[in-house]
Amino acid sequence: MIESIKIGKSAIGGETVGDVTVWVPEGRVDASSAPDLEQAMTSGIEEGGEAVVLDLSRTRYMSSAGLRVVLVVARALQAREGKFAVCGLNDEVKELFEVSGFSLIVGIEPDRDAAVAAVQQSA
Amino acid sequence: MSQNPHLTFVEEILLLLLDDESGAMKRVAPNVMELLVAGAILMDLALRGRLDCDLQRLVVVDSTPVGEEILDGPLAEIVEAADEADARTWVVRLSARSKQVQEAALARLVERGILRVEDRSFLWVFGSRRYPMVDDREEREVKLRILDVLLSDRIPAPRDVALICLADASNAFQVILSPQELRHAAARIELVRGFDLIGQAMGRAIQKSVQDIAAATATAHHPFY
Repeated sequence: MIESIKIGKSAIGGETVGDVTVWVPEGRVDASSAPDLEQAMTSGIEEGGEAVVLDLSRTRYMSSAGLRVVLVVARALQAREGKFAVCGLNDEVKELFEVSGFSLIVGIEPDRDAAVAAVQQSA
Repeated sequence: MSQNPHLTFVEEILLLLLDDESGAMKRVAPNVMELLVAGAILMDLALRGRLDCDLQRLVVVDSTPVGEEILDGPLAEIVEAADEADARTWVVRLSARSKQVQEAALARLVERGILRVEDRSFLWVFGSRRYPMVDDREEREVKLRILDVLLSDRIPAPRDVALICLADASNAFQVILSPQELRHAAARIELVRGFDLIGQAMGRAIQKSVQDIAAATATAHHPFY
């Protein structure tokens, strides 16, 4: 099932692959779109989706507000012993993850297949 | 764990730096304190959805006042700025407001019944103002939040990340943790303080300021070298 939610200048696509929920935000993940992305992802976790992939292959920009969504989601999943991976980072977003140390607390995979496999493996 | 949504980061860090009984402020170098307060303001505004930043720039995303005097003045200054700047530049610019912001924050803590004012005088001439603790619940909660982050492997909430950045920059950990706990938590502090880009920018501004002062002091002591 694929659904796309329009939020401001961005859009989030949510897809389920087996028991893994894959979120695919498009465009910019910044202060204008981050609250809706956080809401969508945390609601999914509260509804029982405890294996989550954030596919950033369609995200061209991420700000500090976007990083906070990653932190909040990683925290919520850790508290539930869930699984989380991020994939498809462009060079700019990858630099942001490295500089902020997020690459040390969140699994980063090259693409969606690898991320889904990593989350399923560790489940 | 409950969090008082009305306490600003400036108020929280002041509570950590005040000696509970005497009400005297722990010694923090004035240049460090100025930058620390500026960083606290920016982190508060970011978490309240007014600012956003990346590695190159800090921008206003919502200019609506938050209703806190100590935050709305700086927010207006950033809104009115003609140029675009990064987070570190804004930490330095807002540091000029530090003294005024600290006084306003202490007044708020007194107003809330958390601190009381005690004016002392020496030979009826020299006066000093202290802020002994009246109600230590807020301070205990702040300390518990810090300990919870540092002494566990739990991923912290964004608000607690900001608090760790501020406590680290002010050396408040030396008051909260034993030397052994501090050594044990060093790697964790290093990791967590990186999670907040404004906290990182504040850390760089403080480091530069400390280095500049050390260099100036060395030059003053060795004028012919």
